[in-house]
Amino acid sequence: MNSRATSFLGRTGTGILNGFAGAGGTICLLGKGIYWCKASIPNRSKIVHQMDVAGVGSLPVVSLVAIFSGMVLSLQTGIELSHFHIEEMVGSIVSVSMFREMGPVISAIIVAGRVGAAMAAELGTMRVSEEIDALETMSINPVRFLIMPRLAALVLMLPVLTVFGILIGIFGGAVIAKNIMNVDYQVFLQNGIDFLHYKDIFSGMTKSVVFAFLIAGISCYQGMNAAGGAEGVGKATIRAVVLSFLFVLIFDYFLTRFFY
Amino acid sequence: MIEIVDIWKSFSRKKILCGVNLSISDGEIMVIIGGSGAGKTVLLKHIIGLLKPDRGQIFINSISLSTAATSHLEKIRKQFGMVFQSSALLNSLTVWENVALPLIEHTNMSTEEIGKLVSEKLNLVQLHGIEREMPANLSGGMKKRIAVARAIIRNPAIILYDEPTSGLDPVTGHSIENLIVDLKRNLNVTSVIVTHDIEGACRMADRIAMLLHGEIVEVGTPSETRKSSNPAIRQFLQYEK
Repeated sequence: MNSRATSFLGRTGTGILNGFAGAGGTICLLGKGIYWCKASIPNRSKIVHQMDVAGVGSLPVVSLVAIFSGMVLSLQTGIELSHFHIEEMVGSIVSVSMFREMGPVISAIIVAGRVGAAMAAELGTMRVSEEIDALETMSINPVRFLIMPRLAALVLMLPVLTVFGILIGIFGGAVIAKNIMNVDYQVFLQNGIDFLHYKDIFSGMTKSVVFAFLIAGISCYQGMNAAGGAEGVGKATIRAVVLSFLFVLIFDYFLTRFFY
Repeated sequence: MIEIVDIWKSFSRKKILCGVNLSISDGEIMVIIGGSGAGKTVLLKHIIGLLKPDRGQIFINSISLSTAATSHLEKIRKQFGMVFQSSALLNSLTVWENVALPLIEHTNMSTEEIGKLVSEKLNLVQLHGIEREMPANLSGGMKKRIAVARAIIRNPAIILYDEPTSGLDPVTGHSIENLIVDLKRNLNVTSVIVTHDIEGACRMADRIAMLLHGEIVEVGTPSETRKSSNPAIRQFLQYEK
């Protein structure tokens, strides 16, 4: 076997091993984070601070993206439905799509880009500037002190953001349906409610909770394992965002398969 | 008592520590000197269990750090204070919160009691009126002194200092040296100091250990170190003057 082939196999093998190590490390970190939720009451101020950063801070962007997504969805489906003279059905399509799919995914993608990146960068900077080592020397568990508040905040706030995004998206869709396809608000809403099942709401909320665990786990793990100064923090942040996007979409598919 | 027994450590196949043996008694000030990249900080991080050796053992009062469970390790670390070379203050917390953090996390003391202790320790390192400042607004020397205040806030039995006087002006540097000596004299604190300042080492140390090529090549009192015929130590002394 020539040296190029050996080198290729070596790189592939190292990549696979690193992938498994990363997955295992992320699951371990998530497990520890969940375990330390037992200390959430004494650490409530840290959790509330993170809820503000992750939830309240993301609200304007989620609102903006959700309203335009609802408007585009309403416009695209409404135009097609109008060919069959059933444009009043647009309300059912917008509300079911928003609850099942678009609300959870859009909110997760925004939070992964905004909050996940910030988590990875902040924890990565703390790692390379020895702040996490300093916590350990003071017998302060970094998972309890840093990871648990971020995990708890995201798991609490992402479903809230998702519900908010869904409602804003449906509102955007209704405005477009009324002004462009002349579908009455009441008809739009009635169709939306009639075609919506509890399962759609439940699956959407379950997705948002799973996505919150994924984003927090991946971002915190990448940040905690950053190495090599500012460049290392940058790379960890990129990995956190890319992997979060990727796993949100992968899990979205499997959860959809599971529910439907 | 700290016992370092045959410690080996490599990073990416590069050998950093190659069989380090050292014994540090209670209440002793041990200064570890050596050139940049000699592995002094790596050795210090092994002593507090931040790094695990590839081979060898470290015993703190006869308890092995290598075999201690995480919860036990946290208990052992409560006996320690550590001053990092980069100060390692938490940038999201104020000076007051940084110094008070070990007390907030590990005691049930009231805010007033904590405040009193924080002021006392900040006075010891000659800092006043900066409790509400954020670390980002302070000079490197001030950060170093805050790190010292944080390390001594719980009156630990063992304090590890990584270059405690680097980046400080000579007056402040001397005051930190005096503080280290006073902590030993008054509270019998064991200090392990890593530095390449051999003059400062001679002023503070009970014993000085020279780390060279991953091994402790010589251990002796400051006067023995000054008289050493070891070429590496002679070179250190020559350039210090």
